[in-house]
Amino acid sequence: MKKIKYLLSAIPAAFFATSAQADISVSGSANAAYTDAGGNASATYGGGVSFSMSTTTDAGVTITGASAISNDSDSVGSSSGATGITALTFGFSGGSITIGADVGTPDGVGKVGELVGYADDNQVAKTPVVGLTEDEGDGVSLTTSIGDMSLTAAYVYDGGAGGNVDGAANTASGASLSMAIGAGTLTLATADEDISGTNNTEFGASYVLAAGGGTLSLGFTGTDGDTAAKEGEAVSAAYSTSLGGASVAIGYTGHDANNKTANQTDVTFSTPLGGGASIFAEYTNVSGDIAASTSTKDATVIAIGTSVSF
Amino acid sequence: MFKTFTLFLTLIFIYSCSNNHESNMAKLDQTFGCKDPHKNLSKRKMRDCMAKQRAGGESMFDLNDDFNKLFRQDSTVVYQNSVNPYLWNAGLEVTKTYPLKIADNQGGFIETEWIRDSSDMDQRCLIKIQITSRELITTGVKSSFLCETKQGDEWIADNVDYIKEENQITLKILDIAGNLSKTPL
Repeated sequence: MKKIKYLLSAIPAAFFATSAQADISVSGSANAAYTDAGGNASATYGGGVSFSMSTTTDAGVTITGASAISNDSDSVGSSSGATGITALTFGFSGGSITIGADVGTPDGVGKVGELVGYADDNQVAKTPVVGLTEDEGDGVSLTTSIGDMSLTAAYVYDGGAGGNVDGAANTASGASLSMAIGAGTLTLATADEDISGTNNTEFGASYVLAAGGGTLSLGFTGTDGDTAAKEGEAVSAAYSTSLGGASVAIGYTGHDANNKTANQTDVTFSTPLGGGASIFAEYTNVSGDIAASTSTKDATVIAIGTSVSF
Repeated sequence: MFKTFTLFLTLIFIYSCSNNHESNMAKLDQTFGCKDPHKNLSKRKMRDCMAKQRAGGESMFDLNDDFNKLFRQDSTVVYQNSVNPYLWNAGLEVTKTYPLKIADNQGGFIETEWIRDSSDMDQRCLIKIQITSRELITTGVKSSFLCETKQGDEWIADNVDYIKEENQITLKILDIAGNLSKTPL
């Protein structure tokens, strides 16, 4: 048996070698949502088409670039745009390296209970918000594996997206590591940001495991640094499961920073309609130290909508 | 700092050049879906991913397929499959004599229905095949063979390791895929 295993691993990939080729991958989605925040109703629409173009060099390195035609879909004042290729990804057998724009550090790993994508649009702000806020920009990221562990590291050399490698005012860096432990998957992540001399560091951890026919996620986030409203801890939990073909999830996140606390509870529901279409509903509520409700924003927000994948 | 960071990344990358990466990423995909912390999806990509996840992995117009047909006439440009098409087709070929319970070409997963032999109705087995790579590599396919025996009215896993059978299935898939790669899909 060992010989068979040895032979399997020893068969060179070149045995099956194919000629280099260029690939085009197209994907997209469209969505419409109705949001109600304390009686203030609004609608959002959006979607886009993404084009991913790649080629493989003679040495087996895959180089990928992506561009898109899009319409921002989570704000009432939707903004349309077309983007050229702003980043290149080099794929190797052991991982990939991305250089360019929209590189982000792995923050938010521990906030597993923050589930909604539309309902928070018109929600009042929490006073304490543990975690980093701005960490994306021009940079380089690497994803690879060490044994059974997956590692991602990122360095954002210009958070202002100006392409300034060695003198930008806003920089960020971070790394995350995922591995199977026990019945679940543990992810540890750290991220640092320097925004014009204001420094903050986030540590995040999550543990995701199958439980009771669904998936249980537990998370922790700790932030340390110069911004008092971010400096503290957040604990988070979520449980998702399927009920008769529909996906249901409930999540909770508690923020405790600068002697103030705020809680966020999210519930999401979605079900496929066939043919790439689905309907979804979201509920979110924040309590504790939060901003006052206004004519357009409230602590409790619901959203219902539909999305199509194509 | 940038130089140190670059050097650090390079050392890790060189150290970690292994064939585990694709299978590790596939496992994380299965666990986290769109929220895989190692995917680093942009906001737009996340929306596309969530829309597809909510739709159970289906697409309305299948733009990938349309582009594939469009570019089929030009042999240098083809649509990018999420799994290697030769390994995928080889997996279907190996299991073609059995009824299939799952054949997910996006996730690269094939599972047969329970297979029973008329000479022994108290045993049943099934085959699971996972294509884990977009590239035609020998580690891009995993096979597993599960069997149960009937005890009273209950089917109980026999807890036997079918390593030899699993390797035979994997080798057969690689053999067929190698032959398919020499002819146009």
